[in-house]
Amino acid sequence: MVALLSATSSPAYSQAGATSEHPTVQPTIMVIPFAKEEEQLRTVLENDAALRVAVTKVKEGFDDRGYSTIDFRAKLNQLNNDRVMEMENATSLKQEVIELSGADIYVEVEVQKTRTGTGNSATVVMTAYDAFSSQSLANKVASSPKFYTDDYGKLTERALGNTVEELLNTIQLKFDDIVENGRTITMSITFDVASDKDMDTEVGTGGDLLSDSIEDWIADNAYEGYYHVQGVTATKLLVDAIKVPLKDENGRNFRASRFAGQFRNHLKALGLEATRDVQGNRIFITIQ
Amino acid sequence: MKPLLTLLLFLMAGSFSLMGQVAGGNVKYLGSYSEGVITVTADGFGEKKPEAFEHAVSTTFRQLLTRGIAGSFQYKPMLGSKPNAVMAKHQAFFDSFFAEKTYTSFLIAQEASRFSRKTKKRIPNLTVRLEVNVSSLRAYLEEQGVVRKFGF
Repeated sequence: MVALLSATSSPAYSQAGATSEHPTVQPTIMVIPFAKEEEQLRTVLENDAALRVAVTKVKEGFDDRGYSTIDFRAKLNQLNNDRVMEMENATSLKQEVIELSGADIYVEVEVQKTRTGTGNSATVVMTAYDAFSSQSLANKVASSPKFYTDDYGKLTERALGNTVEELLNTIQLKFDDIVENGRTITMSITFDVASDKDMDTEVGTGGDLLSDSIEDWIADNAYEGYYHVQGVTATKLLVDAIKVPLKDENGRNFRASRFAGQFRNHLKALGLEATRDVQGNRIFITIQ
Repeated sequence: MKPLLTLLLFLMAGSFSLMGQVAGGNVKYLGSYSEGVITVTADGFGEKKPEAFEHAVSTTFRQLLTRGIAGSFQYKPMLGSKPNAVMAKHQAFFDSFFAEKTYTSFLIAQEASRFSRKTKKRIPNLTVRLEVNVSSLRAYLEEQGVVRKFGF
């Protein structure tokens, strides 16, 4: 009985003690061009040689570190061309490409060209995001000196210099932090339209509000107790950051679906039925 | 009177700039003229030229590993956010790295100034110009398991 209790009540996430028998699945990374809301991603990339240079140089930086990236153009080609042309909103296309690629991290690259009477220059803006939590992982801006040339490809190359190295170093520091402090997942808890429950429903023997009970469970089960509630209403509780360990006690990758399953069991213990969907690091719980 | 005042101001400016160098760890970034390579100047102290040279080179590598080189693309420590912990964890590796001068294999070019026998505390006996292949050093540290490869 004691063993059973300790097995169910303790989250027992021990990252430090995890063995490295099973190789850790590495995050997948995709480098994409920046596009304004009214611009088509494909058009932006195909019409701008300097942007293609910048995207390629960033990918080259990852390659030099022995890390392969997902090719944005190849992924874009996977989408039906006609459908792409019909898309009015470039932002949704970007989201679609990111989701289709399954990339955990995407690096957005923008090239700004400056033309003056004293010479032309290029500025490259690079931002790395966590695709699921939208957390910014690294940001770098690089500018070239002014030259009397219209070759913006060369200016872009000159601007980038060793800045890609700096970007990778910063991303690596974030990876080190993830290894030490766990990775971030998000959880959205909502109610089925037919449900007669809400976040103010009293649950358990103590008559706690459902929202409090959920938050207590998350606090107990998040890695090192780290979590952040973005907001709670009567019909929704959104947790935009829950730390989970990178590996489980057996040294395998800790899956968000496992966390979702454990949470569903908690709801079951409270007498609530729920369905769960997991997309990458995002968990969606719907209480019936 | 005026030339004397000028000389005095010049000497004061010189001593302040020297103090700045000492506080900065005696390693100054010059530039990066090839991909993945950092060029620095470093001050060395020692009674003999080889000793002063080794001091300058090892100081450069220690700074690169534990503090980073300000102004360069490697402005953060190569050993990550907790360099001292990494140093302590891999003490045997670093003892050998510095004792056997393994770091010299990551030097692409080196030039030394004229050796000075003066033994004033703040005046280096030697200043060297070094080109360090940081990319290659990182690959070596990754291979040896001292730093994590890119990724988790």
